[in-house]
Amino acid sequence: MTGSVLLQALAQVFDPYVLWVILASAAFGLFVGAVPGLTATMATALLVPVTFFMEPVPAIASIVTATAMAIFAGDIPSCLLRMPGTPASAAYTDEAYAMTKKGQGELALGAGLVFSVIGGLFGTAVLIMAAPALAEVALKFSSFEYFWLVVLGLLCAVFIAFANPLKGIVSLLLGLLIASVGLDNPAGFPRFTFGNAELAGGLTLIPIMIGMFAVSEIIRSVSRIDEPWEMAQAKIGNVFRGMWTLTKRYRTPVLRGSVLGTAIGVLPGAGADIAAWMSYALSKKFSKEPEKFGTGHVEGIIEAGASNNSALAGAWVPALVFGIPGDSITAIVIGVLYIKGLNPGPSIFMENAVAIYAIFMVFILANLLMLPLGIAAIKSAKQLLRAPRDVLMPVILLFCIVGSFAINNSIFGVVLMLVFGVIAYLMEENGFPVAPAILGMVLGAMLEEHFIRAMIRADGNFLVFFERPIAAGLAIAAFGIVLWPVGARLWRRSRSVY
Amino acid sequence: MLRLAILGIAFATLPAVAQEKIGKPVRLVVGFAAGGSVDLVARMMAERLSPRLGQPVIVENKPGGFVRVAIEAVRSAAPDGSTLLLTSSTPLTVTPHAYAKVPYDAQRDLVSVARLVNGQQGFTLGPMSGARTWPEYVAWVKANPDKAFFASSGVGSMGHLVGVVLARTSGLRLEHVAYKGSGHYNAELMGGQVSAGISGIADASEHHRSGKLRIVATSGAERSRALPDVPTFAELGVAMDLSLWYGVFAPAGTPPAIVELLGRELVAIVAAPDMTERFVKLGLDPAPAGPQATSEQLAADYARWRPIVQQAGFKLD
Amino acid sequence: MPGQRFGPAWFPGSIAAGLGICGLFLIFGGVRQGAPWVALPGWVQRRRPLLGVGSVIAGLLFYILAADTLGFHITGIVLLTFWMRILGASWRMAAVAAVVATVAIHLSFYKMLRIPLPWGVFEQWAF
Repeated sequence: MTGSVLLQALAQVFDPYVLWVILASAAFGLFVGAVPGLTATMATALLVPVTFFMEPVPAIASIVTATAMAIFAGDIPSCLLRMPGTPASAAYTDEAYAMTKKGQGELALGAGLVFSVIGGLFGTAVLIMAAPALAEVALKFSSFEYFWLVVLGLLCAVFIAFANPLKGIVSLLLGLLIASVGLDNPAGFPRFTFGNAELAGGLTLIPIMIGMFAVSEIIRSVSRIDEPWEMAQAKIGNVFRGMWTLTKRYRTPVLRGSVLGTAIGVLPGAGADIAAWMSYALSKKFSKEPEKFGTGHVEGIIEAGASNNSALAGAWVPALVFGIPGDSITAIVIGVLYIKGLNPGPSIFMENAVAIYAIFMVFILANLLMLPLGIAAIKSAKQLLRAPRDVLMPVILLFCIVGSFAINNSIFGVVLMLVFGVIAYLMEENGFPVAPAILGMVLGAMLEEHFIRAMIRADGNFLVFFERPIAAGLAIAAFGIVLWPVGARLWRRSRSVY
Repeated sequence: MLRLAILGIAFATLPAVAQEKIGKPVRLVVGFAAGGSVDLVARMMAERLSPRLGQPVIVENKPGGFVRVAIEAVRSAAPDGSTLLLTSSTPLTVTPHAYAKVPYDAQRDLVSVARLVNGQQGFTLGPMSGARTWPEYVAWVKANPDKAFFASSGVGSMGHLVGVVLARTSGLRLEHVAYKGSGHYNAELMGGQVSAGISGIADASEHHRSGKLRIVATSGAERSRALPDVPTFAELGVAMDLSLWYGVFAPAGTPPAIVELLGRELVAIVAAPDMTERFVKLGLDPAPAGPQATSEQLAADYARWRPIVQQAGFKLD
Repeated sequence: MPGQRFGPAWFPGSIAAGLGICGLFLIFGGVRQGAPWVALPGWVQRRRPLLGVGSVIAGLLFYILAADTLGFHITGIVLLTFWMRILGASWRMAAVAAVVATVAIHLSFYKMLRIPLPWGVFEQWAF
């Protein structure tokens, strides 16, 4: 089996046309990821018409490469401008930006790059070695398990709000409320739509995310226009300097992030953004220096960066093995696979072994390619940002406008961006963190959908939510997260009495 | 003099003839998230339509409310041929009868451009019940009445209706669980969390072929070309003839010349032999028809479904 | 239907309840600290920041209202020039940068990414 198949796959991948496609897709992915408002999923959707004219291997190769680059590229504006390029980067935008303000932007981006590559390679390895087995496990997840998983994800938001947990919860609830607007709920009942067609579609995440991070940051920046402008930056030197030390010091976070990211990617319907949030929160929870989080500490970025890239690879597990989308990107990819005659399913490993091995190789190649291309992207970004503030900021704002428009080709996106930009500015001036709101929006629909469906199956009896083993385990973890700090504090107080 | 005048008139009418071109990129709006069978058909059509029109044709996913959001988006768009809706006939001919009031009227707000394919629903079983045929499943349901749920791709979808009709005609207790599209419930079906699913054949045909799932019956009048060995419910003794078709629609007020142009091109695309093969693989039966025929079918179906829906007690609000 | 007592209003209703409770906690906390009910940030007193922030919001509103009619090119150039001038750029710098940026953005988003930015006044010359 393997010998000749591998050689054939190698020959297919290292064909000049395929390599050229990979390079071009990488550049495309970098651009799309770096522009706030354009997501990796959009990059995939845009590539689909282009892939129609290609053979299967280059077609899939282009999507794999573009999405890997896009997920990393979202970190660049996120770190340098506090404008996440993709929702997956929104989890650690504030942390990365804090590092930039301390003059450590190059470290943040370098770490993000290197550990994204490591995470991606880990996810790919898991994909190659264990796809069918993992897919079977993923099938065991029903609405009960997903419900507790989402609850866990939401509780993670409470950790990310450092200063004031109460305000973090308010922000989270706001995000959940925003998510409930529209027609897209289990009952199909129009909520908060006021008869407006735009509102019936719900409030889209991307324009709101751009507004809450980018526009509010611009407002803040302009309000400080009297103060001197500092892009407090040392020159970008060797991005790799210090990476080995970091790898040794943060071995566990890297591993944990990669494992969690892959696991969440494998679960159908949960992808890179959720993985990044949960990993960032776990990083703080298990860190030896949790108080440094939020001030510009690289540990969380390492873990979350590894996580979101490994989730990308993980999402291909259910997609290839069952034709079930692991995330929104693979939902589109499955369609492309069918069109190219690579029908997903257990048989794909037998019937199209060469193509599958070629795809695996592309995964490895794409992740490795991220290193040189990522560095090039980081350096060009730095150069671009040397432009004077009075020219740079308006152009960035115009990019944001177009990005908000682009997601639905509707001016309503720009309206959302403006409204939530102002709201977010007011929120942050009053100490309310913005990140939990974004998470609430990402997870709100999933929370309700799984809760209602689980309730229907449980016939209204909440106790059924604890019956299944995995569900019970996740529920215990969720309660544990909430009760642990309370319990620890009571424990300490009782001990200090003596 | 007269010749000049005629020439002048001829030149003056040239722009009117040239109006038959769509001058900007075309958005093909789909009411479901990317990856489902409607989305797949849309992408296949977009691929072929683009060179014919000389314009990029982009698929836009606007999921929500079982195509309601997509219908809204299209009916309020500029009627110049640059915004089209590709949907199954269900939300236009069936769903409106299940609600007391719907904010759209397909025959008033949209103009039919073309019919593409016919499709049936497949009743798909997963490993939960252990049954591999319809009679076996019936026995299982009777023995396990609390566990008999069926999944559909949304409240108001054809699968939902088929399930309701099935429950009535066969006297079985089948509870409905709505999902957002078949991708979500195929996982749970295969994992043994839900016993059955009803949706378009395309959503399960690959899994049927690989043996992970079993489509035990189809909802139409005749067996589907894609699954020649699967009986229809009618053959199994359950009276049913519920099928749907996929069509393309434009906002009302789109110039007839453009509607004709689009209709011609779409019909030609569907009629091509390799497209036929792809459709059949997806479990869809090509049935191309132009604007006039599609419009008549829309009206006929809208009238036909009302008594069926009402008799089935399919009320959603 | 089983479980249907959790209708569409349940989810937002619970969230609203949660917000209400948190809101009460926050208000009590604020009242205890003696904070004023409404406080304006310092920069509204100064002319340049106020003008700056106002122009951001006004500019965005302008885009929302005018982009479809005027088209992306005109709106973009006008907007960029306006903003750059407010932030202190020279006329020449602003005009050149505005035109270059608008055209570049339009080309890359329209041609490469197929995003239908409005043509507006230039509809007939659309490509």
